[in-house]
Order: sequence, then C-alpha cells, then structure tokens
Amino acid sequence: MSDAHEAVIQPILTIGPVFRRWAVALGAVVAWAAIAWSWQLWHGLGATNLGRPIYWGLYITNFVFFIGVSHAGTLISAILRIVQAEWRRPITRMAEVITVLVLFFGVGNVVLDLGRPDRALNVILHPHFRSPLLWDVSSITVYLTASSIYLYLPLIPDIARLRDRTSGWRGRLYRRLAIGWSGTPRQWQRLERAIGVMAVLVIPIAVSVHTVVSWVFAMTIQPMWHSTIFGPYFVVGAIFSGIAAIITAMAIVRRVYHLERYLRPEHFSNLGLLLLVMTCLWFYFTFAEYLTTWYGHEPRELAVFNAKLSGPFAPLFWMMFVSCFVVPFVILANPRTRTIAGTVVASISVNVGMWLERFTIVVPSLSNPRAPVLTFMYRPSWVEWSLMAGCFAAFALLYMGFTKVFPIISMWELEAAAPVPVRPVVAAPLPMGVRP
Amino acid sequence: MARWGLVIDLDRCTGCQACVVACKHENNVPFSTPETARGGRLMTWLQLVAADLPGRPTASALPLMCQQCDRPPCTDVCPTSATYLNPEGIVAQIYPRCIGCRYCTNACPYAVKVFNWTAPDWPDAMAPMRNPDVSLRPKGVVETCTFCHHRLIAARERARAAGREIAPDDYVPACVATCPAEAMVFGDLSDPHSEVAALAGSPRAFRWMEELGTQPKVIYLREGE
Amino acid sequence: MSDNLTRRDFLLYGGATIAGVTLGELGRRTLAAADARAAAWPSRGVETWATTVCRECAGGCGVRVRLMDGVPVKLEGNPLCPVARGKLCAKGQAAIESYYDPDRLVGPARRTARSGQPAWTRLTSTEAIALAAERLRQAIATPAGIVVLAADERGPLADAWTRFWRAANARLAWTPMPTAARLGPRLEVLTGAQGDPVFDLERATYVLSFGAPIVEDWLSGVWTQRSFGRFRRGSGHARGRLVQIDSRRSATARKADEWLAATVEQQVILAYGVASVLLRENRVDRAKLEPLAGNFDAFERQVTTYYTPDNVASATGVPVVTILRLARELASASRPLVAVNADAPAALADAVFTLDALVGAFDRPGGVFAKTGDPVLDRADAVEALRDVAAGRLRPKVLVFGDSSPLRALDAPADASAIAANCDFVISLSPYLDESAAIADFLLPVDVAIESWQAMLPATAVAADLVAVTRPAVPRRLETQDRAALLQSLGTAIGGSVEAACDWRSSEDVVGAELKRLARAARGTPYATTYETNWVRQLESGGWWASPADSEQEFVDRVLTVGGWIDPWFDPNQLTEALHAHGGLAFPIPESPPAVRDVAASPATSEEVALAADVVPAPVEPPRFPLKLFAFTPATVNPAGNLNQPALFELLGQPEGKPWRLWVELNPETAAQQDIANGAAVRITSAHASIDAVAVHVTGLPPETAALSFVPGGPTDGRWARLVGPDVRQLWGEDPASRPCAVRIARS
Repeated sequence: MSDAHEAVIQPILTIGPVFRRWAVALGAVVAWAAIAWSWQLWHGLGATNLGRPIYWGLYITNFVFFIGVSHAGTLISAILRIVQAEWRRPITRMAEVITVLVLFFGVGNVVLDLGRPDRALNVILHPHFRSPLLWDVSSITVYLTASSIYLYLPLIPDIARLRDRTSGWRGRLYRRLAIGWSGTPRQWQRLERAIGVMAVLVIPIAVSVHTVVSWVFAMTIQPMWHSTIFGPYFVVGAIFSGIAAIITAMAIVRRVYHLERYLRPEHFSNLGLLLLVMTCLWFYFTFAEYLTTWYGHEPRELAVFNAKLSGPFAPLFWMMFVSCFVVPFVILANPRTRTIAGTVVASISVNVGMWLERFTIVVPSLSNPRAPVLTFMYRPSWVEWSLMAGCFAAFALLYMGFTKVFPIISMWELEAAAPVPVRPVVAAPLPMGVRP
Repeated sequence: MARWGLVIDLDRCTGCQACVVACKHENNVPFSTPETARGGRLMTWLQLVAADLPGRPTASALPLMCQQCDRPPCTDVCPTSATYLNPEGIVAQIYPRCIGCRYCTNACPYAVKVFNWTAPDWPDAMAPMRNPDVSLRPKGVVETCTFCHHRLIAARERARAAGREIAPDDYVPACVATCPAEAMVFGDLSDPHSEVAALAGSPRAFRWMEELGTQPKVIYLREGE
Repeated sequence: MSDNLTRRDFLLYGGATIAGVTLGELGRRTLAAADARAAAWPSRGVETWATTVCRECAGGCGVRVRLMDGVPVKLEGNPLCPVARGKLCAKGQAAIESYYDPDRLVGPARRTARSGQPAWTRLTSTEAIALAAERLRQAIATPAGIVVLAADERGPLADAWTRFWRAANARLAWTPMPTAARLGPRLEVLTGAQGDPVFDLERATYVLSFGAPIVEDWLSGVWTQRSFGRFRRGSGHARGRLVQIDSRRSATARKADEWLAATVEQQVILAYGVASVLLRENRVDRAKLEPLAGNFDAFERQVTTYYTPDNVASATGVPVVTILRLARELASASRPLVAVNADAPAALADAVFTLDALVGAFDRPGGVFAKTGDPVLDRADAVEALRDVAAGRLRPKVLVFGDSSPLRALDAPADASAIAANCDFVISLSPYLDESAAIADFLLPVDVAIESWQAMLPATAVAADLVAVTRPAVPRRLETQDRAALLQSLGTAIGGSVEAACDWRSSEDVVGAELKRLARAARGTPYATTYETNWVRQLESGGWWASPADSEQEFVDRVLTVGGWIDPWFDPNQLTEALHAHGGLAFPIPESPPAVRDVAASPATSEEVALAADVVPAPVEPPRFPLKLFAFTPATVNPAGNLNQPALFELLGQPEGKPWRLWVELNPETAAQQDIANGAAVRITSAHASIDAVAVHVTGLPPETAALSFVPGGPTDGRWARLVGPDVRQLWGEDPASRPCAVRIARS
C-alpha cells in the first residue's frame, strides 16, 4: 500500500547505518552515566562536589531546565491547536514527544539528587502538603499523565495506519496501541473531542507545573529566591526554552529524515517570531527581577546580586545574558537572518542560556547564605557531569527511538488540514513579518 | 509543657569552642579532613561563626547551632515530615524517613542543618567512643542540633524512677554543661521563674535574624556595655 | 503472527526478570540492613562515671569519664573539683581522642633501622625493660651520661620521677608549662614573696593585659575562662573592662574592649609609660605605698624622667592621648588588675608587677595575691638541654624523653637529626610516636592520663591548697606501662642506689603514700559538694578543720572517688607580709630612656636593615622580604600533648570559617597592595622556605607585620596531624622561631 506520506513513514520502518552509529554512541554515553550513577549510589552524594551551604547544584539545575523544556511541547501545541493555527500541523507531534520524554529526565534528576533514592516513595507514604516539593510531585505527576494522553490521542489514527502495513512485533505493538481504530465517523468525532478537551486542560496544568517549580525556590526566604515574580518568570523561561528546543529538534529531524516538504522555512520563521516575543518577555522579567533587587539594596540580596553580576558567577551570568537575549534578539529581529540556520543558531543559544540561567538561579543564592558559614566555590564533579551528559544522551536516544516507532509528523492532521498555504500566525502586527 | 530555650551571653563567651567539642562527642558527629572541610563537608551541629552584629565594630564570634525556631522554615518545606517541630518546641528529625532532598537545609536561613554526604566513618579504634544514646545517621540524611534531646529523655526517666518532677538541673545539653565561661544557660522559657526566662527579658537579649519571623528559642545577649 | 513465546524469548525475558529482581533485592537488602544497623544503634547500656584528672595542661581540672558498659564515651568536668567545677575546655574534652587514638603506640618497640625509613620491632615489656636497664646501667657511671626531659609538673608522682633519675645521676630538664609558677621568680624579685602569683581576675573591674591570653589559655584554662565570664558579667559589680596590649589580634584582643598592637618589647615600654603617668599625675595611693616603699623614690625619679609619654609614644607608636587615658582609666577603676602572660620575658613581668604595685593591686580582691608553700620551680629548661645536645655541647649516652615532646619547642626541624646523632641511645616513654619519639631507638609507651593513677598539684589558680588524686578511670587499652612501675622495674634491673630510690612498686603506692600523708595532716577535706558551698562552710567553721572521715581508709576512698583533696584556707596577706620582711618593694629601675628600635632585631640581615630604616626615604629597590612574621600556636592546639585529635583541628581557623587551615593575619592595606583578598590562598616565602596559608585581614595590625598560626606537629604524630599543614618552623631556618622572621607574602 503506497502512501501519500511515504516520506514520513519510510524513516520509521528502516534503520540506517547513521542511526545505528548514533545510537551506539549515545548508548555508550548512557552506559557511562549508568556507571557514574552506580558509583554515586554506592558512595552517596559524596560523589558530587556539593557541600554546605551549596546543597543543590547540577542536578537541580537540570531538573528545572528539563521541566522548562517540557513546556515546549504540550503548551505550544495546545495553544496553537486552540487558536487553530494551521501551520502547526507538522510540528505538534515533535513538540509533544519532547514534553513527555523530557519530563522523565526532570523527575529523574530529582531522584538523582536525593540522598536516599530508595526512600523516594516516602513522599507518598508520608506526604506533607505544606512542602512545595510535594506540590511539585503532584503537579508533575498530573502533567506527565496529561501530556502522555495528549501525545497518545493524536497518535491513534497514525498508529492504525502503520498497523495496517506491518506485521511481526511492530504489528503486535501497533495493534495493541491502535485500540481498534478503524476510522469510523463516530471514532473521529470522539477523538477530535478528546483532543480538544486535553488541549484546553493541558494549558493550566503546564502553567502550574513551572509555577510550582519556581515556588520550590520562591517559598524559601533565601536571598534572590524569595521573589513574587518567580512563577511567571519561570513559566516564561520555560516556554522560551521549550520553543528553542522545538526548533532545534525540528531542524535535526528535517535534516536527518529529509522532511523538507513538511518542515518549511515558514515554520522556522513563525516559531522564530514566537521565540523573539519570548526573548523580549524574558528580558523584561529578568530586568524587572534584577532592577528591584539592585534598587532595594537589601544587603543579603545584594550579596547574591553582586556575586552574579560582578563576582565569581559573573562569567556565567553574562554568558547567559548574551545567549538568552543578545544572540536571539539580533538574529530573530532581522527578517534576513530569520532563516532556518538563523533560528537554529538562536535556539541553541537560548537553550544554553536558559540552562545557565537555571544554574545562576540555583547556585549563587546558596553560595551566599545569610549566615556567615564557610562557603566554597562549587564545581561539579565528574559524576555530576557524567549524569548530565547521560540525561541528554538518553533523551536523544529515546527521541530517536520514538521516530523509529511512531511517525514524527502527524499524518492525519496534515490530511485534515484545509489546503490553504501556510501563513504566518503573527504576521500582521509585526512590521518585519513574513509575507505569505 | 516546657518550652526549652538556650541563652548565650556573648559578653561572657570567650570563643574557646569547648561547646563545639562537647557537641561533637555527645552526638556522634563524625570527624572531617581538611579536604572535606574545604568542600563544605565539615560535619558540625554547633560551630563558631564570625557574625556582624548591630552595634559592634568588628565581627563577633557567635556559637551557632540550630536556633530551634518556633516557626522553623525548615519543617514547612520537608516533603515527608521527616523534620518537624515536636510538642516541646524542639526541631526534631526522623532519620529513617528523611529522603535526603536537602530542601530543609536550603530553607534554613542559619545554614545549620548538615547533610551526610557519605556514610559516617570512625577509625575502628575510635568506634567505641560513640555515644550509644544517640543514633548514628546513615548516609544521605539531614541532621541538626536537637538540644541533646536524648538527655531530656534520660532526665525524664531518672525523674520518673525517683518519683518526682523533672528539675531544671536535670536536663542540660552537652554544650551548656561544659561551657567554662558560664556563658550558656538552658531551661524552660515558659517558666517565669527560670533563669533563661529572666535573661531572655534582658535589654541585651536578641534573637538572631528574628526579623525573618523564625522566632528562635536560642537567645543571645549582646556583647559590650 | 503468533502470540506464543519462543523458548529464546522466554529465557531472555525470564533471565532479565530474575536478574532485575535479584539486583534490586540485593540493593534493597543492603540499604535495609544499613538502616537496621542505624536503627538498632541506641542500645542503652549501663551508664557509670569514673573520676580522673585532666593532664592536657597543668591546670589539674577534675574530669568525670562517662562509661557505657565500662567503655569510656565522653569526658566532662568534675563538678566537685574546685578548678573545673563541672566544666571542661576543648582540649580537656578531646583527651578521649588521645585514649582512642588509632595511631597510639601499641606497646614497647625498638628501632631496627637507625637511618632511612624507620622500622620498629615489637618487644615484650620484660625484654624492653631489661634492654633499657642495660643501657642505663652503662650510662650511670658517666657524668651527664643520662639526660632526662619531661613535662614540668608538681606532685608526688613527679617527685618520684625526679628522685629516680637523680639516683641515676641523670641530668634532668623540663619542658616548661605556661603556669603562674613561671612568674614566681619575678614576683620574688619585686616583693620577696616566695611563691606563685594568683591573679584574682574574677573580682577585678578593669584589666590591663600585657599579652596575657586570658580567653585562650591563661595560667589555668578553665579557671580563667570562668573568671573571665564573671569578670565580665558577674553579680555584684559592673561589667569588667578589658584592655589588651598584644602583638597580634589574639582571641583575647578580639574579646577586649580595646586592643593596642604592640610587640613584647614595646609592651615593656608602654607599661613603664603608664607607670610614669600614674606617678606624674599623682594617681597612686602614696599612703598605702609608703610603708612598703623600698626603692620607690629612685624608681619614680628614673621612670618619670625617662618614660615621658612623648618618649613612650615615639617608641611604641601608641599615641600620647591613649597612654594618658590608659593610665587614668587604670587609676580610676575600683579594682584594677594588670595581667601578663606566663612566658613573658623577665622585663615585661617586672614591669607588670610594678604597675600592679602602683595601682594597689597587691593582696587586694580583684588584684594579685601570692601563694607560698608550693615547691619553687627553678628547673632546667628542656629546650636549652636539647640545644646543647644538638650543638654537640652535650653528648649523653642515653637521652630519655618523658611523656611529652620537648622537640616541638625547638626552632628548626633539622635539629632533630643532630640530636639523634649526638646521643648513643634515645628512649621515649611517650604514648605517641611524636616528633621526639620518632628519633628514639627505644619506645616504652606509658599509660595515658585516664588510664593512670594520678596525684598532682594543679597549677596555681585557686587560692587554696589542693591535690588532684584519682585512680585509673578506665582499663588500659594497649600494652602500655604504669610510669612508676616502669621506673621501679628499671630500678630493680639496674640495682644499687637507683633500686634503693624506688620505694614504690607502682603509681598506686606513690598515690597511696600521698593520701596517707594527707590523712595524717588532719586538715582540709576531700572535694565536696560544689566548691562554693564548701567555701561558705569553711568560712563558717573558721578555716581549717580536721577531715570528717572516721578512718584513714574511708578518707582515702573518699578522696579517690571525688578526685581530690582541698584545704581552702588561704592567707590573703602573704605579699604584704613578704614585703615587710623584705624591706619593701624592689622596683626594677630603668637606667635609660626607651630605645626607639626595631622589633626585628635579630642579627642584621640586609633585608632587615632595610626594614629598620623606615625613617629614611623609601629605598629604590623594595626589600625582598618586606614583612615581619610572628608565629603563634592557636589556643585549641596543645603543644604539650598529643596532637592527633581531629576534633581540635576542626576548631582551627574558626570563627573565620577556615577549619583545619593555617592562616596568616595581615593588615588589610598591606594585603590590598598585594591584591590579597580576605580568605585568599597565599604563599609565604622566607629566605629559607616557603609555605601555603590562607590570608585573614585584621584591621589594626601594624602594616609591616603578619602573624601566622602554626601547629607544631610532625608527620609521625598521626593521621590527622599529618593533614594539618606544613611545618611552619622551616621558614625560620636556623634562626630562633621566637623572633619575627622576614618574609614576603603573595597570592598563590
């Protein structure tokens, strides 16, 4: 059976040498991380370079970063779906997969950070609801469930299509997952309705997740953590890094699977514009946050402020500022540089910058505690770096694996689309908008 | 019910650190090495810090332990209630329940909670000197000063065996018991006749960082005239 | 397609499941077992308490050892002991780490390789004693054939030690302890009173301290700490004011209401400067001084002539107004006290006692008393003896180290090998492989304090007679010897007069004899209730009374249980009486105006010449070593005892937050010139060596000086001592470490 979307289906069913090479390389990194983790389990968190008073470091940075990136997906795709942005159709799946996969690594980094991972279930056995960490557990669980469903529902028709042309283990798998999809109008109606409900539901959940993550910090009275704008600031940062992650993933998938027909420059340009908006929003929040701290001149707050802007964390802070604001703004504000290559460069820069932002939120506050106890300069240990590398490698591996099992582009949604040309979603209000 | 409190007279305190050693031995707090100490892994429930206090030209040496807040920032954030305020106002820690997330250590503005980065280790020859009244903490959990809570339990048992009420002298933490300069006074803050209650009302009395609303039960008496 | 599982699939999935479950279960069990161990830990045993005496310094604090099922777990102060009164300092508590020290010597041993890597062979104690006795017998005939060095102590056991070695014709020398006894000779020069000074810090209202480490370890640590607390905030008088004149910002300087930076030489000048203002402004009680005047007139004339405030100000850098103010504060205080460190040079001690005389502090509450009656310590200094050996002026056949490490007080570590080379044979009785034991040919470790019988006279702090007496608090942990029993065995093996000198079999006999003596004296009492109550009872009954015990045995048991004996009767007029007998005060009369001279007056190196010349315009080339470096041992380190105590090393560098670190104190401006931040790692370089340390900014430190903390430990002292940092003495090379050393300090 030939298919209009053979270009989408073909990469699923064939595994080439390039894929194998990458899989082996990434698998090696993951294996190394597994060794590092065993080392850490055996020696305890002494294997890290954390200490008093810098109790949180790379793992918590990664946790916040991954949870942030997870907003890529669901939130973007849900919003675009609700506003019926037609150009969204080829990219929603890609975004949703990022969300679900990356959430595991967000949660995983918390487990890595636990002194007693064997007792993690105590959070459920002896819950203490006044703890923001428990709020986190609750909202992330809900988010993971909701976004998994939200990923799965639109997959059903595509799975059914694959079921019909495969056998063996794939056939068995697709048969189970297709849950008897036969494309009757009644099924279609139910599916559309379920997707619609989930799209609405997932937005407040996603917003709550990152708000609650920020509250883990903001609910304490530590200098430069105890901030009222942390909720929206983190949500904005999350969407920011999420969009950047989508663009990066899109570029890779497009290149590797030759999906130029589906992922067109307009997609990059449109997402680039969204990223530009988020760049400005991010700058606004950052400016507001730092200005109030500086102007308030509260000594403990100022100690952290100075550590970031001119102290030992200055290189990281300014690198963050350049890669979160200067680079993306310059590239994306100019239509001539808002090309595929341009948006990809901006996105990678934003992702690096947002990771640095998380780091410069977590560590400098802890390095400058209110009490005059001995502090030190935190430099992550090999175990921490290895586990971080392992997380990224495992994410890439799982993402690759997903593309070998499921279509990375939602075929039925493309078909359901009205045959209108892709239009920029925010073309009119912006003078440098792309003309259709 | 008693509200146990500790008064430290900074004018009397000589910074001799006898209390630090007493605490270490009493509570089985493991030793460090120069490397671990430099990396923030010095295990200590009580230490001397140089604090800038209002009205003093230079930093004062301040014996710093868990301030036993009445509104502890650490207990609120614990996801498993492993750290909690017990009915007598002592901030307690259930070691077998702690998951080691270190949220409490970060929430504490006094930075007095310490984490077992590795399994506590004593040379074999030194193992017998550990106090059997105080449990050993496994790796991966948080610990902090308990006002030598085991001494309270022992004092209660002794009083009960003698068929009397617990007397002020019966329960004294190890740091207070050893303070050569007699700078530390311990007792029941809710008893208006106790020495701690009288000292807590002194014009020199202050609670460190009380502006944060932590309501500590460790009260310092200001140095100087 | 088929839903049947193939065998291959079955094995694969089954195997994976079993492996997963097994691994998971193993991990869970390991963790559960660890938790169970932790949870099972609080197995309460039987708690008992034993009494002993702290030997970390000469203070003689009574100690209670807490034993759980007979195993010592903690040391606390003995509430009955009048010195400790239930309290104990950091060093005293850390003594339990010495008992359990994993690097303690396990028993007698002899060196099998004299040079190169040390190699030791264990011996039985019988073999060891026979071998040592053989060496000693050969050495007895030679004059000064045996040199014996030990920590300076008073009491029956120390007397037995002395008797034994005198019988062996040994040359005895002692490592001096910083007790009031060391100031006794200076007090005698001024007043004629033969005894130790007693500083009544507790009741003073104003203390002018010339380098006295009051809050660190002054004369009798715990006693002084308590006195300081009561001086500051005692009931019955206003808050005591403390002015500290010190070469660096010591802990006492930090605690003081005012700190003046002055070197020891400058302190002498400052003391006479204050005296001169007191006399010029007629702020001394002449009516009271008159009957005891002695050479007062001559003194007044010379001091007021030479030590004018201007002269003193230019010699010390302390402004004239400050000198005037200090003198006026001192004179107007109700109970002023002038204090000095035990190891102060004679000139400073003389100046301080002079000031005490002028402000009427003698025999006055809150002043200075004399406690006569204790044996006068006029003993050879172990350091001098060691220098003689190192230089080859003394070549003993046998060198004996007692239970301390006199080598630590030496200047250069290089001396150690010279000492070993100039002795035929070295015996160490130290329980630890300290720096001295490390050069020994023969190790005969003795018991540590809590394993021993004790009978010592605590260093003078209490105005009373007391003897700290206890039996061993804990069983012997290793194959160590009772000191007196060891001497007796050696004596028996040597024979002759040495054997005759040993009228004991073990320390128990010596202690027992002392207790019998006390019982027969029919005065004083075993330590009883708390010291204060006892004191009131003594006052009520009018001084001495016969000990309340019915029988001698009951008395002996009582003293051993409570840890000591005290006769609190004290004559508070001993200085006045001595002055009357002595014909008044013998003031040290200054013969010349204070010299404006540089403190780094060690025989001139070119750098130091450049240093001294700060009146001359700055030299074209900056000196290579522009800073004068003083070294000091932090109060929590005990140079006279075991150094391998981790709890104490963690106290180093606190409260600055530098545990385990050696630190160097610098004036912030000096540091700024070198771009050295507070807490930065620095390298200190002298003409001889360079070492690493951490910089600490100290405002008020003279800009051309620096102060470096150091732990006089060697690599052999143990696993923790090895970690605590380089041997600072290298910086001094061959020069005496008591002098400042020319260095440069830069960021590393």
